[in-house]
Amino acid sequence: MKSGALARRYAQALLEIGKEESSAEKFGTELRGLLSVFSANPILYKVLLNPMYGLDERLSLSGEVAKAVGVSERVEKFLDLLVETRNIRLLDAICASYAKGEDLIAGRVRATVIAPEELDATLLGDIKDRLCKETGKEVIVSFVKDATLIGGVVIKIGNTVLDGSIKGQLKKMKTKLLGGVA
Amino acid sequence: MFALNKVLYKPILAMMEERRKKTEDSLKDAEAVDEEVAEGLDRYNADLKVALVKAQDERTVVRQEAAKREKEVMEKARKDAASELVKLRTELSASAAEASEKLKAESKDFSKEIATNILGRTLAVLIILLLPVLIFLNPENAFASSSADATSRMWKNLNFLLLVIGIYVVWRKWIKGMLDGRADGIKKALKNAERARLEAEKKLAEFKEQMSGLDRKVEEIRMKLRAEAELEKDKILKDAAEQTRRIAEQAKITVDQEVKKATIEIRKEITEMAIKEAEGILGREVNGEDQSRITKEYLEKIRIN
Repeated sequence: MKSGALARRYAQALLEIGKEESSAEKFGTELRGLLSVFSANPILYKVLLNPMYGLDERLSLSGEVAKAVGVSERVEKFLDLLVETRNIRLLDAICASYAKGEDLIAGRVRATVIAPEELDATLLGDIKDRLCKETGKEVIVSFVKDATLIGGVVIKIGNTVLDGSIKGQLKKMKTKLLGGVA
Repeated sequence: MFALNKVLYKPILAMMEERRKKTEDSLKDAEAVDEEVAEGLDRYNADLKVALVKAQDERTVVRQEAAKREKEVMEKARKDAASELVKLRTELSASAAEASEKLKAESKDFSKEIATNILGRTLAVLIILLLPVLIFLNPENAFASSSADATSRMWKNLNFLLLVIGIYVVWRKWIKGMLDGRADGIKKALKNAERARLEAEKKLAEFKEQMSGLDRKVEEIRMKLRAEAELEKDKILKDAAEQTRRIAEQAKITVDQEVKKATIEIRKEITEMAIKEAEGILGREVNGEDQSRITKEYLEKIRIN
């Protein structure tokens, strides 16, 4: 099974438990907390995946991380399962898939707004309102700066990319001028 | 003597002369046939050479492959014709020799037969017939002595004459039959010689017909080869024309592609240059107001789903 599909299945399983126990949002927050620790300390992945260490030692280490983050028992057991099955490397993908699941349950979408310079709050609010109007859902907007865009914005929402940047317009123009020859 | 000359010598000599003449004529005819056949063979060889040279000249205009093929076929035809010619020549030579030998053998047999049967017996008859005549023609010898002796000789001669007459009367039919038989034999021999001559002429005619057939065969082969060479030549030329057309077409395609490629390269280069230059200008010129305006204008255009 591909890692993406496997990550989705893990996320879906945890999400189902969270829904049953009405702790889906809590589990999500805890998962993101764990991910932040692992992202800050990538060596944790190496240690937890290293067969030179015994399973008990590795579970002990993951337990310490769980305690440090302060996760619930369910999420700690979920983390132990990932360590035992050597799928801890999928934690990032599981978190992303879980967040999508959370958003789906909550009826919201996430959008990334990319611009060559910081956008003022009013403009970001206009963008969010426009996206909410178009999708009919709550939109959580995040911002990323990319100076190469020259001007305008690029909005990524779900699998859709809306390119309103000057860089994008120049690219389209170049393609048109070349008549499809890149 | 006059009677013998009239009755015996002249017919025999005439018969012999006629036979000799006819035999010689037959032999001459056979030689003439040989010469004619030899001339025919020479003429055939000459015609064959001319045909080959002509075919070679015609074939020089076609390509090497067609020429080679034609040459092979022509060589084969020439060899076949030559071998056939040799075969015919051999057969003809053998037939001529056989006929000549046969005639010679028959001639010898005739000579022997004549010498043995005719001349040998004729001598005895002549002696018998001539004796009384000689006696009568020499009365001095017959009646030269005394009258008693003369009377005695006269009776002897008379007896001898009677004997001769008796012998003549008795043998006349046999001699006539023998002479008639020989005449028939000579006629038969001459008839055989004439038949041999006719057979030789017949063979010559057959040979001529055969030679004529060979010429036609050579001509047919030559015409066939020429037609094939022409077809092959047409095909080669057609292929060459087609190949030339394809080469030209391919060259045109290549040129078009090269032109197109160069055009695209130039267009791409200029476009990239222009875009890059535009990026530089926009990078320098776009300000906060532009950013806000561009973003708002784009928001108005956003359509999801």
